[in-house]
Amino acid sequence: MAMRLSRRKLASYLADELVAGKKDVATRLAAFLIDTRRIRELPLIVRDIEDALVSRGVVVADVDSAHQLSSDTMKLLERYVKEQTNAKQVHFRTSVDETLLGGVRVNVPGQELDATLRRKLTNLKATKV
Amino acid sequence: MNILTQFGAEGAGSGDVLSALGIDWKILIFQIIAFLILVWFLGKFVFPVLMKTIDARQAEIEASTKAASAAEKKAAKAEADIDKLMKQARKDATNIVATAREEANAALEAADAKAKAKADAIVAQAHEEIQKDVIAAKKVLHNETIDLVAAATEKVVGKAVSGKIDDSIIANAVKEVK
Repeated sequence: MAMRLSRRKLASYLADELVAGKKDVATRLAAFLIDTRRIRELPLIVRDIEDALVSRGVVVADVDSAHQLSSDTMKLLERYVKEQTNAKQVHFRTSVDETLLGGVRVNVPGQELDATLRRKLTNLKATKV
Repeated sequence: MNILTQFGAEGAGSGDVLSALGIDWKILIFQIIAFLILVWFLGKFVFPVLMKTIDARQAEIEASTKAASAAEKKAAKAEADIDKLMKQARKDATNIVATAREEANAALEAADAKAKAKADAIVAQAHEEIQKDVIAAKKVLHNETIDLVAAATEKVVGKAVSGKIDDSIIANAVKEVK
């Protein structure tokens, strides 16, 4: 019976593969997880891969906003994320959430920038005595 | 003058003065004896009783006088004592009145001070309660204002913020973070 591969080692390996530019990483990961019956670990493994990519200069950032962001804004955010994480390459996973009202929320491994109007209103409500 | 002359002439005529005077010497002697007997009788039986009675009366009077004198002295002494007591009583009364007045004044001042302190405490408590009410009202107003501002902002901003404005907001936020 094959030895169970730890999630951390798997993530590290897959991060190296991604940085190397291999295209079938996702397919192989899916096959591996199905084969080893570890499908449930997928979100955790993805997160671990993202963490591993950070140390290799690649950052995957979650960007939530109330409107679809323009290319200029995306470039601005890319510069911001690179400055904050010293990453060479930034990938965005964007989503639109109208309840945020305005502004943007950027999540990178270990950091979060919440500049949404929803957050400002929440902070304002928190000043109630 | 005529009477004397007549009287002398009649005496010289009879040769007896007593007869001339109309005095019978027998009767005179008798009267003298009777008088002496009367004197003896009075001295023997009447005067001693009278004298005894008078002496007793005198003794009584003297005793009464002494008693009166003693009573007078006692009365004087009593009067003096009464005066003294009255003076002392007046002095005591004055002292008592003065003390009572002082105590009344002190009690009045104490009551006044107590009432003033109580009034001050009531006023202070009222001020404190008013202050608390004001602070509570301010807090309520503050919270209601925040809720109102938040609700209004949410409604207005949700419609007013366009994509461009949103980009501007994001640019400003990134600048602030940097």
